[in-house]
Amino acid sequence: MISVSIVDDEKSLCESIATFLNGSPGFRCVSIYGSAEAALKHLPDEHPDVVLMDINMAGMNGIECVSRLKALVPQVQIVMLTVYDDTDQIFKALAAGATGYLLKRNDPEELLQAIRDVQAGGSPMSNSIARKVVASFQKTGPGGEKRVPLSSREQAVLDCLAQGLAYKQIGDQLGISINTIRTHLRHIYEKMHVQSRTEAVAKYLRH
Amino acid sequence: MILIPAAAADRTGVEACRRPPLGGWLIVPVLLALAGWAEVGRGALLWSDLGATQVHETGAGTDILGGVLRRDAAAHDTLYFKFHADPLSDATTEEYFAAFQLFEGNQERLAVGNALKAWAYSAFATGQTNPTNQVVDYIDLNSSRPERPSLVASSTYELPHWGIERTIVFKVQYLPGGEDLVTVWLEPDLRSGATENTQLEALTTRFKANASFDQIRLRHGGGGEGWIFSEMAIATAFTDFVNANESATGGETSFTFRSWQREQGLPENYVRALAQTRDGYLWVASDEGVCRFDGVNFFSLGLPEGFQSGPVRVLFGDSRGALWIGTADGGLNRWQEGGLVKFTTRDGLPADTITALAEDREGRLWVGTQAGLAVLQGNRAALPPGAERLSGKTVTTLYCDPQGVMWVGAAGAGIFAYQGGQLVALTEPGLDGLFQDPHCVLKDRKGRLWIGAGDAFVLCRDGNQWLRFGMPRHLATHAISALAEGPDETVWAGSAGEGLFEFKDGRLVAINAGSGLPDNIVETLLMDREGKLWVGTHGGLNRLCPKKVAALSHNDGLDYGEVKGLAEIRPGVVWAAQPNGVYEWDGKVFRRLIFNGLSPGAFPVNALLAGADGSCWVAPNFGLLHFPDAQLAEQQPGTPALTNLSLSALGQNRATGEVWAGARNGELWRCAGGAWRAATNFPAGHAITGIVPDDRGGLWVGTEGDGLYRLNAGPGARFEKEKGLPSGWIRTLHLDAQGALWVGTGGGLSRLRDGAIFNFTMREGLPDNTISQILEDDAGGLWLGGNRGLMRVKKQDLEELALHKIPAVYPQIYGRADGMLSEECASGFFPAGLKTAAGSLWFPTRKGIVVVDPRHTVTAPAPAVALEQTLVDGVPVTPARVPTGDPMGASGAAEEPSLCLVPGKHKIEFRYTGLSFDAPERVRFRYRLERVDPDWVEAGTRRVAPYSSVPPGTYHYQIIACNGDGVWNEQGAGLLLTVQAHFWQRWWFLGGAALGLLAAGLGGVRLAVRRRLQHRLRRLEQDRMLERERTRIAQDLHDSMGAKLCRISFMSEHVRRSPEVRGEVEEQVRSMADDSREVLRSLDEIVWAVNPEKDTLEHLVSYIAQYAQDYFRRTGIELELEIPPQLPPQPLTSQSRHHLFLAVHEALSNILKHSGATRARIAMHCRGADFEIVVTDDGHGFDPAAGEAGSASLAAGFGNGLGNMRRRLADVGGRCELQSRPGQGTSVRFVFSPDPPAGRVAL
Repeated sequence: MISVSIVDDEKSLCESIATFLNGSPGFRCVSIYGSAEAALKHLPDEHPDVVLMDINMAGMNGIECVSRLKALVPQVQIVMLTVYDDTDQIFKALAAGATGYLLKRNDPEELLQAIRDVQAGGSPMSNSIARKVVASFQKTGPGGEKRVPLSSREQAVLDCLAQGLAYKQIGDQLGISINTIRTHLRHIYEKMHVQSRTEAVAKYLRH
Repeated sequence: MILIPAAAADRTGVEACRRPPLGGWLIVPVLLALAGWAEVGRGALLWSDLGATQVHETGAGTDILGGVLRRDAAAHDTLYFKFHADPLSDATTEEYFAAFQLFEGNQERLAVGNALKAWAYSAFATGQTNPTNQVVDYIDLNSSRPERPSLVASSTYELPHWGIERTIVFKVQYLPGGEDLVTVWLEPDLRSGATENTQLEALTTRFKANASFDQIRLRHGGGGEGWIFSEMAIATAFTDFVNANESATGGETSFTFRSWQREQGLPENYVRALAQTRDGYLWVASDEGVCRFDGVNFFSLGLPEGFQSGPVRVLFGDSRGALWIGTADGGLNRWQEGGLVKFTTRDGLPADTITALAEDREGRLWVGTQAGLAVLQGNRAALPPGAERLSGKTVTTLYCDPQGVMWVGAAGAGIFAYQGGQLVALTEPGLDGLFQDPHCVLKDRKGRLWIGAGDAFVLCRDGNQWLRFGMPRHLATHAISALAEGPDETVWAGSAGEGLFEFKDGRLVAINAGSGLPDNIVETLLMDREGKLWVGTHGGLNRLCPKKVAALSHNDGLDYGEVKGLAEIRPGVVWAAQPNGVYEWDGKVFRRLIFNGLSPGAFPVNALLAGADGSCWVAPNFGLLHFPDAQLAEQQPGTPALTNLSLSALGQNRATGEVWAGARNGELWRCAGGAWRAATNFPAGHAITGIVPDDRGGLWVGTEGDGLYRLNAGPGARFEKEKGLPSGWIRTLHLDAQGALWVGTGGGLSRLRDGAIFNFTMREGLPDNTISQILEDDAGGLWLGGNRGLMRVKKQDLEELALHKIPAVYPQIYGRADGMLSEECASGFFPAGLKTAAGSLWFPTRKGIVVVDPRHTVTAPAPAVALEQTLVDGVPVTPARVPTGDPMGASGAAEEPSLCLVPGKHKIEFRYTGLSFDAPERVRFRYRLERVDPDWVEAGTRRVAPYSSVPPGTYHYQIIACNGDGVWNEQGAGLLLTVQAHFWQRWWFLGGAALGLLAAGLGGVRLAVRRRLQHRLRRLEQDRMLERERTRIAQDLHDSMGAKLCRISFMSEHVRRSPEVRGEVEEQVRSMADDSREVLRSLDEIVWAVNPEKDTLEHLVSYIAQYAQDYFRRTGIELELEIPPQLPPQPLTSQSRHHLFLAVHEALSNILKHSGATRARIAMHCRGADFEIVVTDDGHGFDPAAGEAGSASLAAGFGNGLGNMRRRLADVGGRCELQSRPGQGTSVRFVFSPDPPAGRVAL
């Protein structure tokens, strides 16, 4: 049983998703929150396996919420749920600590799959997101300091993805299994989180 | 001088002359003399070809004049020739000749370039037979850049070198008999102010030659790659080249452009057409539709107005006040008084693609279409009689000239004047080829006919003489797209590729992206009612604004940086103090003065004072120098005084000649009869920043931090400190002729008069509280220099403000946009600023000096006023239009709208606008609802007037407006408002009640007035919030719709799973879920397409990749993507992005629907400047030929899509290629150039 919590300011939608999840074997919706503030207050005590988080919310937005929640409960897995396929926003959320994302318009069945994947340690990354990740690792820090470096294998996987290859094609090209690719991607995400946290600290120190 | 009819010729710019030359060209100098210019000998550009022509191994060469211009042995006038050469052959390594050569028939005459044997720039005329001609072989040309002696024997000549470009100007004084006098200048100085007399002797060569000609040929023979000739021209005065050259190198122009782009609210940057309607609104056409512009807000016509948006090509505002909208494929629309009427082929138009519009004298609209001409009469369009020959032809231009003649231009048919019911073709030997490709026609006030035709030609018929101008051609598209005439008889030509050209006073000046125009593709021009030119480009909407002030800077001989003291030592001669010295202006240029005995350490000079006796006082770093005769300052050393003081302020009592000097340490000294004495009773300590003696023997002294002091005349008088100034930091002083002292501080402007102080600050309407300089013009205007430019405010207005007659002043403001190099006026010295004897005002700034001639500041006409919308209880209502009984109402202007409201309490809101484009943000309004408002309500720049409750009755509502110069349109706009009364509000009821209530009512009035004021303030605040809110709504709307649709998707999925739902119901629920997701996807697409943050190539590529993956998911088609790892940061407009995405989408949908493929592949690549997207599949393919013929059904489906794709790519300037064969899959290739980053295109 995977416990899921939903953070979305669209209450009726939250309820529909909750109904849907509770009607799906193996899933249980344990709580819904109408705002990022409410979620930050109560979620750390609830320990859900996966949090579904909306990006655009009134008040604090989902991206900020992810970054604070990850600081409070590092082990929690967060899947961003968003209406619009906005690469920039999604990338920001992933950089802030989310490990997956899904468009609300995707088939509800795919939502279940995404939650399962994240719970099992998978971190999906689309080609478009990969392109943004590549760019983010190329930038140097404000003081010209070295970023958290990617391993050569991770870099190779990322580059293939950024050039439009599918997981299977990458596997064929690099001679690795799809599971290995997933592991690499997870590590890339982790390094990205570290990087965005360092940036946040640096920003904090500068002010 | 012999006149010959033109022979057939059509190559480059050609001019034909059909009358004695001087007579026709002397018009121009006369006009200039009127304008007060002293320059003489200005002529006219007769012929020019600015384009570049490469010649290589030409043999005898071919004529570029076409035989239409001729000078023979009987001629006796003077012509100037100019050309620019870019040698691709190098004289140091190969022997060759290249020349710009005059020919008479096949006889070689004077040639200028490089003679075969000469190996240097030279003039020659080989094969010369005339025994009197002295140029038998060749003559080397003198150069101011001669070769080193090792290369040539004599060091006065220069070899033509590969890659070193030279301009050559030569003058021919034709003498009867053929022994013409030739003067050649090699690389002359053509900068502003240059004349033939200012050219160095070292670059001048004079000789005699036979320069008769009826042809000009460009020639090359021998080694190398030849020469490139450009900027060729023939004129009647040397100065014609001076100006043309100046603009070509991006010299200073007398105007700036004010631009509106998407950032400023323009719906689309590609401006296709412009029009101004009778009510004063400007209308802008783009590919998205039409919008109305009032100088501040853009309002797009859309579905609520009944207008179907789509590409619009032509706009026309007719004499009845209607706007005509010619669309690219949807016929013609007439927009008048809020109503739209549509005309299409069903109404008799030859085609639905409208290409030109014009109105004839009888008020009939002429409509040019892609397939012929029509005249609209009533609601039917018909071919005008006698115009049958234009059936099926594309009418490219229609123009009704001031004499009422309708000009019609049609591609492949020619240019016609419609006279007496028939088309009379314009014909001219040598030009008929160009007439077949007309773009625009204009007849100017001088009666000259201007035509934009061919690839890049402007033709002008002046009398019976044709001038032909070839324009530069750097791009593939470069046609002259539009012509317009300014109020000063300037003719403007817009080029689709090369910017704007100005034909003024016989000169041709190019204005392009290098001169401030945001884009070089000009599609349309419009001269508005204020006489200003609007330029519609692919980079937005632009208005030409003349610079209002002149700046003197390092271009005029000053040093870089700040200017401080200014003094006019004699009329027209001004000294300017700068950090490294004193510069003298002689009316043309600044020159640094070398003072005898003044060490370099003496600088910087701060203050200057011109004495009443022709002397000048100079205050360098320490001390003071007095030059008794300022004209001899460089010969006779000045008399030093106060050598240990650093002086900051100087002042002279003009009556007594007494001079006062104030120092930085606060000491005040007086010089009378040549002896200096300290004013011991002055409280020293603070730097002195202003000294103004008055004519009664008194004195005003301003200090930095210790305020203003007054010394009255008479023995034993004490310095009295003035109280009541907003700041003790005095920046400058000005005493006016009426005895009022004006004080500039950091806290505004203060007036001291008769012991009373009045302060004017930003609260009273000044744009800036820092006043560092105050000058007064002869018309009672104060000019204030501060940190944000100059402002001019009328003393009369300040007077009324002080008497509380008006709440605020609205100064005219001059800043960087008006020509200032820096908006910060210099301070810390006195006198600051100068009014010259001639009345011009000089303001020293951080960068040079700004000079204003107050008599030449023109004021703009009063703005038109329009009541745009009336809201009753928040709902827009359309007022009825009733004639006001004006017998002259035929014009339609005498109708005033009226509005009748049912009984009750209504909230009424009037929205109005003022149509002045000179300074739209400075248009101010007053409105009044008669009998409700006791007086005019000062609305400032606010464009909305709210009323919370209007008692029953009939009222006249009036709005009037004034422009930035304070010129009011007292006529304004208005509306007759009637609020019906309830029965108990009728007079008989009220009559009785009123008596009883009278007493109580009087007390209430005061309260009510106050409440209404507060209410208005609240409304104003609300309006601002509303504005902010509106911008957010669009996004929010999508968000909330998105959430609801998601909900449907989840709920239907949940319902579908329940055991009760089976069979057909399950299918229906499933399709409900699918549909909601499909709508969401479309919504997503819309938000992506309109979001300006996504305007890059990278976003397009990412989006296509993401979309394609989604699209083929679970379709059984395997998708392969290939994307370059990195893309250049190319901007891509929303429009291009959308077209490209939809084209790719079309290709994907073809794969899914028609191909039967199992694999698809999208490869995206950068190919040089191009970007390409290739979509391939392994499906069963088809025969493209069959597809386009529409025979095979499968191919037909694809072929249809192909048409769409091609159109979309064509719209973004790209192309689409298709490859397919039965059984071998299909490949579609989209190629386009991403929008180039904004850059300069040199002429």
